[in-house]
Amino acid sequence: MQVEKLVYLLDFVIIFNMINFSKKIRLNGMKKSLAIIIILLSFLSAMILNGCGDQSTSISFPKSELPVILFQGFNIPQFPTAKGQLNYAKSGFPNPEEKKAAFNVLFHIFPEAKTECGNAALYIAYMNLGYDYRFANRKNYTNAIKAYHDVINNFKKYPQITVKAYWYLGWIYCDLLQDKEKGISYYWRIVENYPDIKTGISSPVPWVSLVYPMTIKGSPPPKDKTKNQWAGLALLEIIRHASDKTEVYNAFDILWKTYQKSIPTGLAIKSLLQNITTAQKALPYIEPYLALNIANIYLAREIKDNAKEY
Amino acid sequence: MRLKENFNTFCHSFQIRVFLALTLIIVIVIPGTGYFCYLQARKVAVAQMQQYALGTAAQISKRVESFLSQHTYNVKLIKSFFENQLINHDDDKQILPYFHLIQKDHPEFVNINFGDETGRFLMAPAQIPEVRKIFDPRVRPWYRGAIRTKGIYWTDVYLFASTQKPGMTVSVPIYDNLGAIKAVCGIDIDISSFSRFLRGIKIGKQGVAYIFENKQGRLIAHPSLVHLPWNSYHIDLLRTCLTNLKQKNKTFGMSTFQGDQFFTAYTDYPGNDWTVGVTLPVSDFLENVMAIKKAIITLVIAGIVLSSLLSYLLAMTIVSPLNILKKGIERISNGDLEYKVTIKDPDIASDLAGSFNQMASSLEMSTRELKRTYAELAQKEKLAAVGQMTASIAHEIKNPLGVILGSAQLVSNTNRPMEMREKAAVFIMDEVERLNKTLTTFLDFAKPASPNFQRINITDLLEEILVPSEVRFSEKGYRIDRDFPAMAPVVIADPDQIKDVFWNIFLNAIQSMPDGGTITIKLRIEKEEEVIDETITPIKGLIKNDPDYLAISFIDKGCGISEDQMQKILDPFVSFRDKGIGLGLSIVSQIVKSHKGKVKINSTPGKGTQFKLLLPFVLQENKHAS
Repeated sequence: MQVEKLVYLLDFVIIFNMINFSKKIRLNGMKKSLAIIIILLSFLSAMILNGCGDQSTSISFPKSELPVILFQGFNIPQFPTAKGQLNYAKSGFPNPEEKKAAFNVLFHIFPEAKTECGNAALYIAYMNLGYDYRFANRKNYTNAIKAYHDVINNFKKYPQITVKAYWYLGWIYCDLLQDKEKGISYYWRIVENYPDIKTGISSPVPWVSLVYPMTIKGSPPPKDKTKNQWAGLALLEIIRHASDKTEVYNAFDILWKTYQKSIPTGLAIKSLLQNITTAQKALPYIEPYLALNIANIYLAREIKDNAKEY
Repeated sequence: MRLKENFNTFCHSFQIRVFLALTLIIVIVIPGTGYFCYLQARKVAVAQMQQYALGTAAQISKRVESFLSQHTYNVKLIKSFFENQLINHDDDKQILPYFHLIQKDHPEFVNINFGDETGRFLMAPAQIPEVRKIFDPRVRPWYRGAIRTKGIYWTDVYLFASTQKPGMTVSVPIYDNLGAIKAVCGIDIDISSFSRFLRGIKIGKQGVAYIFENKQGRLIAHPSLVHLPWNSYHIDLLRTCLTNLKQKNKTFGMSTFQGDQFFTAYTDYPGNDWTVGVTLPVSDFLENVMAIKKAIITLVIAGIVLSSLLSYLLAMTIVSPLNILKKGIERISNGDLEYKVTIKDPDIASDLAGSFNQMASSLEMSTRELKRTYAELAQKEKLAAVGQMTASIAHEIKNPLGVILGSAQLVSNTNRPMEMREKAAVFIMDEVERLNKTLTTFLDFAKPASPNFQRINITDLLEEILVPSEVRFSEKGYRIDRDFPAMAPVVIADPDQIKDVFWNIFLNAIQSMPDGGTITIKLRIEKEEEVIDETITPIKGLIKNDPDYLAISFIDKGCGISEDQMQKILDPFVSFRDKGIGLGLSIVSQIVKSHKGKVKINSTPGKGTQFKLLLPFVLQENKHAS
């Protein structure tokens, strides 16, 4: 931009001097014409420099420029953070093997991120149950149980990982293998050893912060939003599955005492009311619980409807 | 002022004017045409851009509509399975395989949901167990929406926890045979396919198509959706562009964001309250127009350069015949009347040259004729002058001869007393002397002597006349005033002839005041322009590069000269006094002319006369006038 300004300035100086001194330097008409052509050309040069030098606006939208790692036969983008890598693995994949590879790559890229690696191990263990656990077979169960035990062994120092593994073991035994006693034993371990750890289920991430690198300025990190604890869920499952009334009452007492302001407590009351042998236990707690306004209208209505029978 | 004068001089050059006229036409016409073409190209490009952008937005809307219609149809199909009892909605084991089969054919179905009024819930694929244990479908928006609308219901866009992708759920209530709602069926649709679709639409180099949902102003589809941060320049830019257009009630227009300009077009997708937009930087779109602009500028420059050179040559062609004519005029001015101009151009220039040559020939003939006539006239004038002079001589000689004859007769008569005869002899001698004097005057006029030029001091020369005259005429009541400059003026002249001139004029002044009076004599140096008047042609060239004259004025306060007398006062043999022969002032005029000078006479009858002699002035000597 400076060059054409200089050319313009030079032109004005030349014109001024030419007019002022033309008489003295005695240029004839043709020489003046040539001088005008030269000035014209220099003006045009400046015009070209000025006119053709427009800078275009650049609004390059961020593109996926993540490096890709070939892992277990799949090209997997390598995220700058373990959290991002885990979120990517959690997203939908048409091929479950690719999803498993996406989880496994975490151990390879971020071995020091124990929490994310533990979560990845939990997901891999869950994947042993197949596309839909309702259609799983015994082999799937066995593999899953083994995998969850491995998680417990490998991440002993990470209670938020081990608690989830215990809960899933309890769930597999109670709901899938119908081994209530064994499953309940796992639930009691949670109640005894991990009373305060929240579930962190489905941790909904903020809008459009899907699989992008967390380092991008202005992007809020995903936050786990839940009020439920694994122990509360475990107590609910004990109440639902235990055949021993004392054990059920004991579980409910703990649930009421510790996790009164939670959905599992309301569901536990509903569960007690649905069984004639345990309904009396629930009755004194109905009013106080409904007064907490935690239950949704349907749960509240069902509790009330069930209570009417007693 | 000086710059303005120089500018005028510069611009008044004929060649410059011809050149500038041609060049200005070129400089105005060519860039004007180029600029007009550029504007037209830009206008067409903007119109095309508008058409393309709006067309693209409409195309995306149709695609969205088609996509959503397809899933509306799908959910209706599932509903019909239940309502026509092809699937028993009380049997989970029957429902799930159907759901899995449907999902296998439709990978965009993230989840297929089924919930009833008891809180029973089925989903394919399975929900994670810790969620399933506490999940109640009846509180979910897709369930409540379907119950409320009793028909097809689309949720807002939200993020699916299972896939971490944006989507919507389309749901529909399932009725029993009695027309009561038994359950609600829903499909979670992954709308990231919109973003994939938008990624495939190329809009310039940096243009983007996108979809905003208007309730919360969230971006739901964008080619780089998964890479966009929560708050960023890009989202703000798109939102600002749309807001600007909506405020102006326009569907296409230009917006400015942080100093950059962008074109935006949009169309509303009313059913879901979405806006489908297309935005691209003006510079991106103008890239092609800029290419046209560059091409036009290049062509304009090339055109101007070539045309300037051509106009230079053309100016030369126009001016060169004029130069040839100029040279011809100069030659003819210098007396070469036989010079002929040759111009070969077969047009008006050649005609001009022909006319010029014809004019030169006519001029030559006229000059020849004029010379001949002048010679004849001179001859006639000469004869007339001789006749006039002869008559004057005869007249002047006749009287003295009569006196001489009478006196001679008296001398020869011895009867006369001696005293009388001696007196007659004296008369004879006086008249002979008078005759001699008269004839000398005639000779001076008829055959003037060649001036003997020498440097003379005019003051000294004047004093030679004035000093004795002052003594002689002071007794008769005359006074002489001298108005001489301090520096003595020097001229190159013949002192005797100039003295005669002074004496003649001085005597005329004396004679114009018979009762005495003051005669003022002034010496002044006058510039050429002061001397020039229309009636007198200045005589220059005695000494080159000396434009000054010495003016010697004799001013009297006598009777003056009338206008009629003034016309003839310098003619020979014209005298307005009884005793004059009328040659004094003629001789004065003749001498002054031979000195390349001039005579100017100003007179007012009854008030006086000023005789001014103008002699070419040479220099001043560093000497005071005496």
